[in-house]
Amino acid sequence: MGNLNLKQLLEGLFKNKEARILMVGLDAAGKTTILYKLKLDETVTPVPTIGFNVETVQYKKITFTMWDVGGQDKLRLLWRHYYANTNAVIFVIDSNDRDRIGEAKDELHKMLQDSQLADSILLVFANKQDLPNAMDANDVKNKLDLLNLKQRTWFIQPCCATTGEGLFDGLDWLASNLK
Amino acid sequence: MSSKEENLKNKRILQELLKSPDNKECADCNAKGPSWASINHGVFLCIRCAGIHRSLGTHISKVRSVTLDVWTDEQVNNMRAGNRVANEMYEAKLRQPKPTESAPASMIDQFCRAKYERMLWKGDTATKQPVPASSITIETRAPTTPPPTKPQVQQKQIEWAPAQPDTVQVIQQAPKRESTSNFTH
Repeated sequence: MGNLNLKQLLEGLFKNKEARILMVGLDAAGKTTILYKLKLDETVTPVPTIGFNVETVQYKKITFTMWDVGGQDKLRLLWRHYYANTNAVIFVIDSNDRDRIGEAKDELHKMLQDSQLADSILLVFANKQDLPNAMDANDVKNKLDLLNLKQRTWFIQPCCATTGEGLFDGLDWLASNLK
Repeated sequence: MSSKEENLKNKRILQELLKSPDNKECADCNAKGPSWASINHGVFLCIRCAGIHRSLGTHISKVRSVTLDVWTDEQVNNMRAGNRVANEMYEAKLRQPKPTESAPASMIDQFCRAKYERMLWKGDTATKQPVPASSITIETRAPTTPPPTKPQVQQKQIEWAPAQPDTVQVIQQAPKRESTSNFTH
């Protein structure tokens, strides 16, 4: 009996946790590039995602199942079908696209109203920090009105998907904050 | 007009534009049946070239899908001239063969950066500014002009272009553009 408890304890300590991650954002934010940089450490120039990509990423004893869903106008209507059982949302921003940051804010807040995401934590990737016109993370935070997310555990991480800079810092935050 | 009617109207206009012989092929690789577009350059693209345009950044190319995105009147109006007219401008000084659908993505990427970012081949209407000494270099073929004995500026290789050892090449300066100074990789 004592052995069994010890076995359970050890399994609990060393077994991989699992997390379901939903990655969304406007089209061309860099979602698929982030996914494959994390998965393969390769910089890809993907075609626009029509539908979704899904990959598992092992990091810090957590198996992240990452769903990357297309962001064109009409595909955003499909996001809600991926909400169930989502532990964390990664919302990806093209920090260089100042014209559409307001549209990104609207989509983000609209999404977070859905009750299926009530318990999900939120990681915002302020992507494309390498581009000349990029807003910094603080600017993106303000323009997305993140401080108004009262009941939400959230974090914003600047990153560059093509070099990988900042991506694992984002996963570190997820690893520490996933329930 | 309600936004729904406007969307329908714009969708119809775009579908009509895509039926034009001028727009039957991707503006960059000639793949048949483009259904994507760069709305600031006014060109219809295949999905692969759309991906490459997206990687340039929205300060260079703003990409939308004809079928999966909702368009404003202004965006639709930018597309009315079509691929032929747009390429007459962007490729006015292009003297080498374009990459085709079978070309690797890296080659199309080089081509698009030259065409839209550095605007190496844009027609005269846009090249009236004086040429500063610090400007970028381009290669053009000009058989009537003898090659300079000593190049004064460093020759820039255009990687997508096939090797042409027998061609007389002259290095000439291109006009400086605001966008070029931002892009030194």
